[in-house]
Amino acid sequence: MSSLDYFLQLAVNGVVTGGVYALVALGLTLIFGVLGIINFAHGEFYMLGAYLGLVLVMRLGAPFFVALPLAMAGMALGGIVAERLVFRRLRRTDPTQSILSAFGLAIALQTAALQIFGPQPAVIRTAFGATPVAFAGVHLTLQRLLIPFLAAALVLLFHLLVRRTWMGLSLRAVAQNPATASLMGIDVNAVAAATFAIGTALAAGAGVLMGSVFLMQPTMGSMVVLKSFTVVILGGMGNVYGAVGAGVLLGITESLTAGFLTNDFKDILAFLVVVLVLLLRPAGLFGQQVERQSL
Amino acid sequence: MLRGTNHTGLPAISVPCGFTATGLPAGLQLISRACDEATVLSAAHAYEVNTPWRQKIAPVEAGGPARADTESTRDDGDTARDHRSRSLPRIQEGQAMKHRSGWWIALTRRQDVAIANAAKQVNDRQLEPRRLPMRSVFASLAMVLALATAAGAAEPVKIGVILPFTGGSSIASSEIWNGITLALEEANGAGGVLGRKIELVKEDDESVPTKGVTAAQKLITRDKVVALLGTYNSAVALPASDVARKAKIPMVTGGSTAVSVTKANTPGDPWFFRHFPGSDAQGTQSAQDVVVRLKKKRLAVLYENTAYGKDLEKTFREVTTKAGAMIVSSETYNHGDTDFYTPLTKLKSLAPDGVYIAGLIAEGAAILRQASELGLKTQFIGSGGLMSDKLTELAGPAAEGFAISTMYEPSTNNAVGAEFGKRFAKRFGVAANTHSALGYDALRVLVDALQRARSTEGLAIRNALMATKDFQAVQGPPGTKVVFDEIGGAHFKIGLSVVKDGKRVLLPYE
Repeated sequence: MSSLDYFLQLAVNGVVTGGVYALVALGLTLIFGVLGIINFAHGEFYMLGAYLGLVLVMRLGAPFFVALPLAMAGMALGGIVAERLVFRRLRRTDPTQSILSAFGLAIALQTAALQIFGPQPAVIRTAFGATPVAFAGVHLTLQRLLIPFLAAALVLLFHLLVRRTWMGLSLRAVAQNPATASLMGIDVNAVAAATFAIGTALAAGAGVLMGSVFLMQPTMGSMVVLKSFTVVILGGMGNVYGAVGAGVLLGITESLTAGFLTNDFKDILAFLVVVLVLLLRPAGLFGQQVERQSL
Repeated sequence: MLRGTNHTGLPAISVPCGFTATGLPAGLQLISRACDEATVLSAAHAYEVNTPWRQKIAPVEAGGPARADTESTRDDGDTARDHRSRSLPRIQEGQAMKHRSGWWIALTRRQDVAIANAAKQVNDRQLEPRRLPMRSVFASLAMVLALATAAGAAEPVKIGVILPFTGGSSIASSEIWNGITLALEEANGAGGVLGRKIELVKEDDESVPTKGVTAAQKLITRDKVVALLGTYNSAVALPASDVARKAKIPMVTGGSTAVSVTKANTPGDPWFFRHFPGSDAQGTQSAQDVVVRLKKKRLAVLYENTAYGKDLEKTFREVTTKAGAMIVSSETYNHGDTDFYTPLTKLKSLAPDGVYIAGLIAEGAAILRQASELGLKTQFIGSGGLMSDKLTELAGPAAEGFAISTMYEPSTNNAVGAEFGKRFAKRFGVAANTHSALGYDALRVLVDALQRARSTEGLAIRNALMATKDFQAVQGPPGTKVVFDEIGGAHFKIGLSVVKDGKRVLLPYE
């Protein structure tokens, strides 16, 4: 294996995991950007999405490409319910209350999943998972190769939704200034529900994609939410395109660190970069310093 | 004096300085210039260090329950009383004087009888935790209940089981639990132990060391178990066994292999027992098998970043290099990791003949799957922790050719083991494996010791465990008998299985 092949393989591995980081972080940063909520239960939406995909594919025999949108739609509903029950009534209170509630929700969902699905790891088996693909010395399964493309497609869909639709416009308006938006006749509650639906659906999509490649467990959300939070900070809090870029970047950096240094340094590096970014570029890698609004 | 400092805002501190003529504790208040807390604190500290007062307890007769009073006489009342009569300077209340350093030293009568009583109660609690009023109420309730049940049937013998029922090691844990369950049913079916039934009290440690410690403490203090069985992860067994050692409650492993846990025992005085070979023997055997039987010379190691993985890696490295092989790479991963593409890509570039995995099932299955996806063709050899049918199920065809060190297979030529395999398969509908076999042996070895100890007292059980000599294990080659060494470890030959057509096949013992 030549060193170029080695580098390429590592880079491709990084893009695959990075694509998933990007999807999860996109939802996390969207919810923060529009509603100012740091949703620590986001990793659990990712986990539940994976399990929903598992049930659809393995129990009900749905094809993977049907299961993916179905799981996303199902979790979008779940996100709306979570927003309505947990976050809506806390919107005008101290932000720490919604953070604590998000933690509570995360624990509740994780425990529920443990009760329903059991603690043993499981995997979504698909035909693509067994199909090997090799190009330019890089080995993958078709299933893995699909991840960056499907992730890119979902990001594009998200982009169109936010930029080209009436809902996207109201989303951006609320993100800019909720009070003014509501004065202009935008239903802030509806926007909040839509934000959660979109964010959760993206997390669920990422969960299904990962669940088809890696083993899933009810505890899988905890590490992902930390990583995604890293990505959100790197991309600039609330900056959706920053999150996508930072997600892919983090995936590749981790892969190269583990490949050329050692696996131990992988997680150290990610969090070290966060500290550096917070010190040197507090608005994120892609962020612009925003002038403090005068009152 | 308090009011004065409150108004002036000057730093002040109050320290005990003896007892008044009536036996009440008196305080000494030190006041300094404004913003000079450092001096007042160091002066108070110097005073406390050089005087005995902070350790004395007010010899109060008034108030408080009668029982507590007799105790105080026994514990510390004598000394306090002596002090009062012998050495107490007769301090007058409200007396003040100017010290030569310029400090105002004022004596105040600070405490009334109620406060003195409270202080004494606090002291009593520290000395005699069981004498807490609430606790004693519960204790007497428990006594009444115990008497009531004793009238009916003999109390069951309680054994605590700590295993990671949830979390990353849950598969192994459920297999071990099945083995334990079968041993329990058979023992109780044969009349229990010491004429009493055996009852198991389960606690989940979730593979988390702190939870293991809490579980051990809870089982020992609240459930009053006579012995402990557990746990699976060595990193959890290590601190949990420490609890058992301190409480002098014997503990038999529920699968932990790292020798660091038995090495934590005092030689000749072990409280933690492992009834099968430890990580050093397992690592040694696997390493020799790889080099000698499988003839692999260029080796790599992937090991879990825990006590278990590290111990195995170290032994494997030492033995293989001594046997003439070369370790080209040694990488660690975390328990719970799912993506091994990068370390495997690295291995692919190094092209080793054999890769040793020192870890547990979920990660092992992921490594095998992803290695085959990446097109990495090499001989994988696994540590005992990867021993499960679940691994072959999760890894699928990728597990073909995978070699693993094993202490039990249903196809074993150990007659006791083969019989156990049949009963196990009949009871649970799945084949027994190393985990279920070690769980089965763990409870049986404890029951055997209880039988011989003729007592449920910790030391008696421990001594009986140490004297174990005729215990026929279901694990290991034919005729394996468990004998514990001075640090609670046991030794027998470990086998090697290779996965063929989705099933593990035990290679004959050499």
